[in-house]
Amino acid sequence: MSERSTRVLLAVLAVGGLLMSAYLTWVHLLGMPPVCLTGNRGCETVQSSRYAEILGVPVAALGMGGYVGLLFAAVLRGEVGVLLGLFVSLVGILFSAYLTYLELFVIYAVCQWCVSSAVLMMAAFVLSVIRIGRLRKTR
Amino acid sequence: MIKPRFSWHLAIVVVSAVAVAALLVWLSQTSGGGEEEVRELFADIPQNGAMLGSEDAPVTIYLYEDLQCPSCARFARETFPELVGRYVESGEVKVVPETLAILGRDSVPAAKAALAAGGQNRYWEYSTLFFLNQGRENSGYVTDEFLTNIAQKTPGLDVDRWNEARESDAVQSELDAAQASARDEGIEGTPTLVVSGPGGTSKLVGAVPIDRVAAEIDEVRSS
Repeated sequence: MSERSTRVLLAVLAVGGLLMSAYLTWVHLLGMPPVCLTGNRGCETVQSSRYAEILGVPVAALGMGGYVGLLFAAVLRGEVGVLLGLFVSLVGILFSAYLTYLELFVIYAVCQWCVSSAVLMMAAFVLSVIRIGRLRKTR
Repeated sequence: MIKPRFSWHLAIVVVSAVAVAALLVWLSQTSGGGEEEVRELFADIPQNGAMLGSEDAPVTIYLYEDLQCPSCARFARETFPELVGRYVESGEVKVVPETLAILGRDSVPAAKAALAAGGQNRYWEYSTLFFLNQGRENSGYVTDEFLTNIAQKTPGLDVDRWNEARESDAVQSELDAAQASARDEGIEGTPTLVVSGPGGTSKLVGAVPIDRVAAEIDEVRSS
């Protein structure tokens, strides 16, 4: 996979994640339940739990910030872009792991949007590692 | 061969990412647990049994709720604090809970636990903390341990007395009365607010925003 296609793929993931987290932020601020594809109330339970906000900021809004960071990482060339991508995606997968633990063992409800975001972050992390590997070869 | 400077940058980024993630986890665990906001929300507001607010308030809101219901949790988080701050604290409105157990097996112990807290004038602290820590319906999370944990976090609640009251006839009677009232009122979902005052009675269904509740209060306030 070329550097260009890796960055394009990272940008696509970032835009997808940005749209998803923007939607979740929007429904959270309006106090509406998010649409859950399987029709269960897992997303609603997670969104209405105490863990849906940190210091009054919706977790989905933090996700938006993360995906904006990934978009910058995709646009930027060289070491800065690679390291930014690694930083954001690593924070993203660690925090997603924590949220998944909460869903499974504390809230007892799984939100498909959160799972999708975790998968996107994992993919972004893999792309970041690929970019690091490529950068190392050129040095 | 990789340059040492890049290796350093890489190490700094990894350590920073782990530190930021740890900070987010810590903030998530320590903020929004509910004890402090519940203490502040209900401080200095009279409670008589499960009733919240002044006896003389001209408007009464009967709040039909099931502690397992996610929409009730959203209402408790997003609308109820404003309702308390704008109308209950000023003595214009009192709120009477009609606690139901309609969503399944876990609803019964949850309702009894909240009503038992009401015996010590701590219904609202307990139910609000429950909503802030609510899990998925009937997933089995409403265990004795979960309920006791909420009780221990409830400001001013004598946990031993609460534990004895949970299975009392008085609590069962309150639950039965609320279920009967829901049938009489034709309640079809939770939360439902029956807003009653000198100007009449109206009904709101769902996790409605404060503006809609305020409009109904204004409507029924004057005869």
